[in-house]
Amino acid sequence: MTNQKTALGVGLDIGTMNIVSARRDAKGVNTSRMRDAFMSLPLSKLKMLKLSQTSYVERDDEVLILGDAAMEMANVFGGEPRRPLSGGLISASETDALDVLKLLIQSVLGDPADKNEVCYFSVPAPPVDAPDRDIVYHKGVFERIVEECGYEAYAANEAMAIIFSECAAEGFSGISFSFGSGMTNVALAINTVEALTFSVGRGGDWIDKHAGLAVGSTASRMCALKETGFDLTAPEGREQEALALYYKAMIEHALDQVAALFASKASQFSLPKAIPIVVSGGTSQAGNFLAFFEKVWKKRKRRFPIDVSEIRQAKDPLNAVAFGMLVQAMQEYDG
Amino acid sequence: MEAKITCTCSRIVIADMDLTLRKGDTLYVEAGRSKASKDLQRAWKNKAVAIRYVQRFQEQRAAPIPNPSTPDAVRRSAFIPDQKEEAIVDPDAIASRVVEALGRGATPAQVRTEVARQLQVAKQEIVADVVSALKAEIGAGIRVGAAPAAAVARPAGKVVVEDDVPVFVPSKIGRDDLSGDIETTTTQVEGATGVSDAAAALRAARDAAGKKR
Repeated sequence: MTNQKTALGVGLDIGTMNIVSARRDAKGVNTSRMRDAFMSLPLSKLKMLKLSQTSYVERDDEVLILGDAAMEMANVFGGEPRRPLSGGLISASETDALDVLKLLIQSVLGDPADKNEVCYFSVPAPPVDAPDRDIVYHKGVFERIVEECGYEAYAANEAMAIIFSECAAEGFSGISFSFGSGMTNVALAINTVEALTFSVGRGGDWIDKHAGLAVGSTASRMCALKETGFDLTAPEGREQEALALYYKAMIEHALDQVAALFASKASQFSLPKAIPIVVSGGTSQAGNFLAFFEKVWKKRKRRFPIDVSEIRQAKDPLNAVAFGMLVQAMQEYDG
Repeated sequence: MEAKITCTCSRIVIADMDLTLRKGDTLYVEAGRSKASKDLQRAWKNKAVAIRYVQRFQEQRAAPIPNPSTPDAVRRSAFIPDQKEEAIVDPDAIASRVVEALGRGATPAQVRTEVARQLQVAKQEIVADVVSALKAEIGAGIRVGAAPAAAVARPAGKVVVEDDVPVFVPSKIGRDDLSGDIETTTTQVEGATGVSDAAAALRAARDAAGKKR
């Protein structure tokens, strides 16, 4: 353990696709990432795993392969890896995944640098289009896991983290979209204060599923195609066109929800000047996503109730949430 | 018991009952009242009216008796605000404050709208205060209106009705005997200026907001 106060504090982004931690060190910011996926194999496959130098964990009569290795192994065996989180949230019925989640988080966080080091971890906002899914259990489970890893756990909104990492120049005012795998989180902040936060159940998985159904393919194949980074503004072939269509539907849905929810709460706060829109998240890494977003936005601009100064992408879309969490964790030590 | 009085002549006035009847008119009066009327008795004797005593209804239900198994509701004294407190909402004070804030250029319509809005906000705050006072008085079991189980947040961030359904989270998550060599992808972002600058700006913004308050 170290007494170097300036290096204390950890940010943790718990997503459906990736778990990312961020902490400062002497050289800059160190991030540690892992796929939020696992695969269980019978003990008979142990020899094969040792030969292929794949890291694994033994549990009773099975072998667990975690993270990126699980994704690779799923491709080898032609199956789908299991995902502990679904639609951005952990399910109360998925008790088997709790062991795995703890291992994943332990690996990404590492040991605390000090006793009860502060760790801010991300939680989504309650979904507006799925009111039966609440975040209380999700938040409680991760709070406990992070505490069991030796940290002092603080839950914070995922989309607000993007405001904290990307909107310092605007006095922490802006609208952030975190286009994740399981859901899309949105926050409207005015001078560091959270004015509106919500999530919608449309994200990368939703695009894969519906595009796959539309062209008679599988979600995993559409996901692989998506990750090739094709140009969203110039799709080629049926599959790319289907993906572009569902990308558009996802963005429109999120923008419409912001407009509707803002209109219902407009009397509660005032926006003295135009604010930026910041897009982030793994799903926003598709080719030409920003130009595509702007194209969709232009059609809704006239009816949008908020004055927008610019639309920009987070500097590091995969790590922006973890950085925002780290900024908040640093507040507990600095100054 | 009632008296059914039917007029059998062309027209008759029953003075002490303040009645004027024409042939065929029928009315019911209380038996006691008809028997007390001398003019009605005189008309009956002269066959100007026909009188028939009838019972049109009878209460069959037994009188309610207190049920010992269901005790009466506990009577609670009404919530009376402290008389010493000054009026919470003063429309005149709000109006003068609004006029001052809007300046001389404000139109009467603007002033009216702003005063109405501020009164509405004040009303909501009073309702919330009354609810919290009642909750303190009666207990946490009270629910307000059709509020859902989820917490209802007010603009200022105060919670009016809290979610009272506890969520079970296991006391121990994961097994200590599970461990292994798990690979993570580590990247180094050179220089922490972005994060440090953001943290410094956030601290300054929060300090400034704290001083304003």
